[in-house]
Amino acid sequence: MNRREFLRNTSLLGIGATSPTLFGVPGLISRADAMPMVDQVDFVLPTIMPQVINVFLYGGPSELAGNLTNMDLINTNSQNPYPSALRRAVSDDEGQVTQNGFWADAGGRAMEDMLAAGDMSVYRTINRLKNNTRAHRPSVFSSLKGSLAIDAAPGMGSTLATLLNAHRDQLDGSALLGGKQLTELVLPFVSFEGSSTAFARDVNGNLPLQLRGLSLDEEFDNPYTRGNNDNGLELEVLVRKIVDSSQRLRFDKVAEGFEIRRNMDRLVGDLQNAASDSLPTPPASADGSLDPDVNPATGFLQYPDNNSFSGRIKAAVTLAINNPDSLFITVGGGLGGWDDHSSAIEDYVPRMNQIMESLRVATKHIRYSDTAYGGNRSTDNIIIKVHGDFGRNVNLNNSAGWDHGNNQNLYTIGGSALRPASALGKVVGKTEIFGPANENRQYTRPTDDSYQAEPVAIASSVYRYFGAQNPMPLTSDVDLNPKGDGAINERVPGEPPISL
Amino acid sequence: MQMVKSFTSFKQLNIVVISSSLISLMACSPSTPNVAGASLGGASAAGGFASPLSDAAFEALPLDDQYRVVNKLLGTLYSGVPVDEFYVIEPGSSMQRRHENAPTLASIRTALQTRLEPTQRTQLDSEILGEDENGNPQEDVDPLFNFDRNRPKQMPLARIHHFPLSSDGFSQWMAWHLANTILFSPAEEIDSADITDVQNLFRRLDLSNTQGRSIREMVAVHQRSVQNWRRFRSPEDNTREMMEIYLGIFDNDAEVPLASQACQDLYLTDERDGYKLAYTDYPNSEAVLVLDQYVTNCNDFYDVVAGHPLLIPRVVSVLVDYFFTGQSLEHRTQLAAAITASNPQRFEDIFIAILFSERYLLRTERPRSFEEAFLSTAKRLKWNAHPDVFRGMVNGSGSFSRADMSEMGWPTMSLKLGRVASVPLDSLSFGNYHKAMRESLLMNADRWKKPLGLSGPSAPNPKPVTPLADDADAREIASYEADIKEYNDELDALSAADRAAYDNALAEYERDSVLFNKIDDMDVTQLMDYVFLTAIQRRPTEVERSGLETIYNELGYLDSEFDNRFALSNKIDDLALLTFDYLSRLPEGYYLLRVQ
Repeated sequence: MNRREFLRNTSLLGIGATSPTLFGVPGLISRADAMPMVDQVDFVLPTIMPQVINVFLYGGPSELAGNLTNMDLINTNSQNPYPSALRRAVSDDEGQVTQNGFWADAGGRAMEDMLAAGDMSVYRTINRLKNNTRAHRPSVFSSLKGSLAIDAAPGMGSTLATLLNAHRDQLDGSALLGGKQLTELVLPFVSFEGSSTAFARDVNGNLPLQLRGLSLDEEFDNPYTRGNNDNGLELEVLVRKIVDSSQRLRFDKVAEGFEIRRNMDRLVGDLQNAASDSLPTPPASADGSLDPDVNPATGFLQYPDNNSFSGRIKAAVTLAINNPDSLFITVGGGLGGWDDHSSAIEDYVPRMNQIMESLRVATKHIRYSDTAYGGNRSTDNIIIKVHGDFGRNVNLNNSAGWDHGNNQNLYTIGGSALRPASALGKVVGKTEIFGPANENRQYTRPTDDSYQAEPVAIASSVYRYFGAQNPMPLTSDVDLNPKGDGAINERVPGEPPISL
Repeated sequence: MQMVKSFTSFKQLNIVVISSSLISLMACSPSTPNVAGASLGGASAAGGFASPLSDAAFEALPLDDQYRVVNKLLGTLYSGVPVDEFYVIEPGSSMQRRHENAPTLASIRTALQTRLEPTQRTQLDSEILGEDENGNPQEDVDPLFNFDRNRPKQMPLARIHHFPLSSDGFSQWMAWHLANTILFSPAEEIDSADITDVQNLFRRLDLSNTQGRSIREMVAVHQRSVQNWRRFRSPEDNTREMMEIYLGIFDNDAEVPLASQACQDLYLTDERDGYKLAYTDYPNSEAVLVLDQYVTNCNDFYDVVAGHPLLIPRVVSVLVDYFFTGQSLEHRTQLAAAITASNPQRFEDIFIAILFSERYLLRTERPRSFEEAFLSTAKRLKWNAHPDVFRGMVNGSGSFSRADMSEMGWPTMSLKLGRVASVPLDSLSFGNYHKAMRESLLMNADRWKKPLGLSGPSAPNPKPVTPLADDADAREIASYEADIKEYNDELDALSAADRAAYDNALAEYERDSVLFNKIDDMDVTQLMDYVFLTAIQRRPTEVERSGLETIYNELGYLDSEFDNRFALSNKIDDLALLTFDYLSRLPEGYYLLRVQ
């Protein structure tokens, strides 16, 4: 029976258990997040709006690239020997120890350049004393959440957004925001690592959609476009009728994705254009030599080729420079990159060199984009922070690797307008090694007379740049860190160059 | 002396059990796995908070809810049931009766414990690969799917997609889940692991599932494997992670050096030497106390982990976290406790308890993973699968790269700590997810419009002769007879192989024609029901009916001859395409929905 016969033959045109104690063990079931105490923060508008790029080295990098100061004893006590070049100055028969005790081939030369240019400081004593752990999960989470309450706390990006949102009365329409409302900022919180713990949400909070973390990739790939449909607008109108407030609440994450998608198509297109522009040209040096980070053929700066960090670092810096609205940007990668349990030296050295060479170009990309060099904005508000889960043992184990440790370096770059005068161009912190010789557990730790800070102090510093005069409540939690941690003290004097 | 005696008795509790089971692992012959807990070692069906949805309760649900439940279950298994295979489609009916062969909870449960005949499985693999049973390419037979060097990651998805619902497919699906969690990820992202590790690890998981191996056996074997050591590459790393991953003990830093001491005889060689697991020849000789047991070597330690009381609660919790992501901590804890209390012995016991629980089927709502969304929708669309689909999904290669799951923050068997429990829905990940669903599947009409009955099928050559009308005149009868003779002559000229292929194509054509005629007979209301149920397993609201009908009318899709109550026959596929575009924009399509 075909349709017409059917119609003739019918008249249907009108049819329209009680939990066992085992489950008290931490780690069995994941918990949710809750916001720290924003209302206890004394907030004062900063004079300049910061832009922070947080580079997180998942897996926990060794500190040795930035700290060979204990190498004699490390080598003596290690189960397996280090190359002898790590105990000789660079001036001595291809030695590896630079003026400030960096590992030359492991990014040490680039670090020295950045130190000398006043673009970077190295803090050698980021040392976990509170709730000390050497496990990835609590270390990553506490670092990216800026809290030891690793399950309960939201990410540091979300906390920062909440802090700013709580003070919209001061920020909205201010010169700091270029007269914009906070919620009018374009891409204020961005991840270049996909879903990031740094943007873990406060389940009890109600952060406006515009202040939540968005993700981009280093190519500024644009999956937000839709193939042509002449009726797309009509379909969207219908969608808006169906996806009401209850649906937006019920399907919040996907509904949010659709909301964001509408604007991202255009925004990402603009960023693609910016990313394809040439980088700045550094001024000629006094002796006429070419900057090593310049492409001789074009005269423009260029990020190193064959470098797995160049793309991400360049993208983050490009975004920060071209979009002053981007306040907090995260850059990372998959866990495993820095987890050098075996074959450490052969992998770590080139990897560390790659990231430091990328960062050196980033400092120049930022500086020469400033108005002082013909750029169209001041860029001395852009800060890059580089850190990881934890440091590592200094013993070379029998797999020629380093197992999980504690003390680590923080590499902090740029942002001179936001820091004390003496904050950049120095190495802070002295270390000593401890642990029994010829056993695996040998670490560095701060000497008794050294400055040191908890890893969560890095988050605290970020909050401080943005106006939290007492950021401790933002890193505190009732159980493990009732007082919280303050910002890293950037006025601590640096260590003198080493002598070998 | 007393200590040594105590040491032996402690060890016997666990190590003897595990060691004997390892021996049996090598000797046992394959057996048919059971479901729902009626299995080895005294596992029982989970109760309380994890009680299964009974067949009676399922049958009592309204028909559309049954369709949702079945598709939720099948969707979780990366499959689905098309509308016309669940509902009776008949003139004048708005699909209000269940098809007699429609899958139900009971039939799905039975299917999951039914092994494919070996010959059938070989045939299915041959179809996937386009090879005969000896691995030789078959002449005139195109493989269903293309593969590349990442075939070990692509083949499981191809099997899950192509195999009928069966124990074999279920085992692949379980292994896929396990190899993507923290429990067994081969961690291909790290330098020391490669695609061979993926292949060997996945194969071991699949075999263990099909052979009914216990969780404790599987963990015991895996810990000792080179794949585990290529992931956790030093004694300290390895022992720390075993306690974290399999026992959920994250605060045991004090015992890590002791466990590491027990494992000091093992190391992973460097890249130059091929990342082999090797002995140092300097074994530990001192018994050390770890996890309240004395251990001397790595085998002892691994047995303690595999025999530990926290192992089962921990692996249950990892899987509960995944399938019930978004549920409250209290609910997930209760679920994990209830499943653990059922004494699960095999991973299958846990998966079955989760999948068939009333709480999962009726009350849980969570975002779909890309596999759950894409492959289940493809099944409901009767999608003529793109041969590059699994290359695209797994590693973004081939002409289906838009579906690259790595771009969605959901890489395959790659992450050192496995996929996270919740599907990444950050803006970039979801942007890629939505674009792949919309453009590679729902808007790719050429791959679904005919099998779904939305476009008239094409007859194979020679084209069958149209039957003679009852009132045909003499001239028409003569013409018909001439056509029949010509048709039969052409058939006779075919080789046996070509004739067999023709007969298959003709049968498919006739089947598709029947469906197309049924769809063509639907009025717009019924047609919209059909399209909506296919894509999102519900019927349209009145607002949607009205809004979409307005657009259909503007676009000239409706038949004015019948007062716009029907779609024009040659516009049904366009109507469906527009509707799928609309449905691709609804958040609900990206969720496994609660039914109550």
